[in-house]
Amino acid sequence: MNIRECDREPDVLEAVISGAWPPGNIVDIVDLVHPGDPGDNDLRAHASRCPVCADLAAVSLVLQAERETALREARVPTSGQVWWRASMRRRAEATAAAARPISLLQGLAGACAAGVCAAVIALAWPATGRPFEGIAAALSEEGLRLGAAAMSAMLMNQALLSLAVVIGAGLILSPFLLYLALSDE
Amino acid sequence: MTIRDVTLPDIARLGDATDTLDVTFQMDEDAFRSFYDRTARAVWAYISRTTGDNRLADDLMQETYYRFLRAAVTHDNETHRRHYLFRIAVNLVHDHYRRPYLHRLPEPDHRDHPQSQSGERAADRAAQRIDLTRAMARLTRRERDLLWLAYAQGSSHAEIATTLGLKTASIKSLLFRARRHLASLLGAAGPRQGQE
Repeated sequence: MNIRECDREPDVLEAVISGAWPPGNIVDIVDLVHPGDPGDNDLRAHASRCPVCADLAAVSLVLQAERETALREARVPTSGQVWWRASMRRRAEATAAAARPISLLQGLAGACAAGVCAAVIALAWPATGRPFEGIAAALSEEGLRLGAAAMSAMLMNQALLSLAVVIGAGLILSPFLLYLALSDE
Repeated sequence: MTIRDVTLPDIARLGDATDTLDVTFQMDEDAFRSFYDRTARAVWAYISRTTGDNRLADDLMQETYYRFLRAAVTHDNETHRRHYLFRIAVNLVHDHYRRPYLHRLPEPDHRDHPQSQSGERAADRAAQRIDLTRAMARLTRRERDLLWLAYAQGSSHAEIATTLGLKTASIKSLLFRARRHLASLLGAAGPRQGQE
């Protein structure tokens, strides 16, 4: 037989929450009947026989006492402080959200500028590509030796120059990208 | 971002530069202050006792009210508003415990509690609190929530169901098992005849 509920549970809970059941420790609750105590002795007598109500009384008395203690020891900030902090935080978040597209545009502008600079350098001073010519020639010879005749030194030179531009742009852009990635947090 | 990330220069700059930004909340300041004064201690008590950590309760309580203010939710009445607030708090506590490095409640610090009481009664009360904190730490999160809301807050089954996102019909049996569990942990023997 399972006993899961009792008709007098609401009475017990009401007595505990209303304070009609004097607070005490668990032992007091098991020794429920104390003649002369305030409160409902009939209810206490019932709880001493009913396991459901005994558990209910024990648990609710302890938790009620704990709640009272917690409410006493709570040192909560004033409502004004909480409102002010929430407003400041809301504003900070709104500012960050508003600034996000601007940061994105700045990053894009920086990337474009870096690309243009790299292109101008490559056109104005073709000598910047010379260090790559030796590598290109060596690779080309190696390619010819391996039978890759289509890979001419000129094409290789152009490819390596493009690669150098990309690497240079990446080096210039990386601070912008890092900024964009980390700016939200 | 939390309020701790905002520096004093940020605050000055925000005050000057963001007057045009939409920073309004769904509640005006007077209404919030009144609502906060009625609920803050109860929210703090819930978080403190279900996590066993007063400092965490300080942080999560502020986060609870911030999320409450920020949410664009219309509340029919005070009860609904209060349930919504507690639901945020419950979710924050659950989120906190989803973090992998947190598995158990910390031991309570009782040094400053019994000062207003004296002698044997204070010692009994302190011992009882330690027993309760240890017992609470051995309950599941859901059991702690159910028991606190039902027997400390005095919430009805329907209110608990709303706050915890459970079915009202299941609350009775869940509460019974949670209560049985806590009572057995507390050593409240009592009469047990006929119990499952």
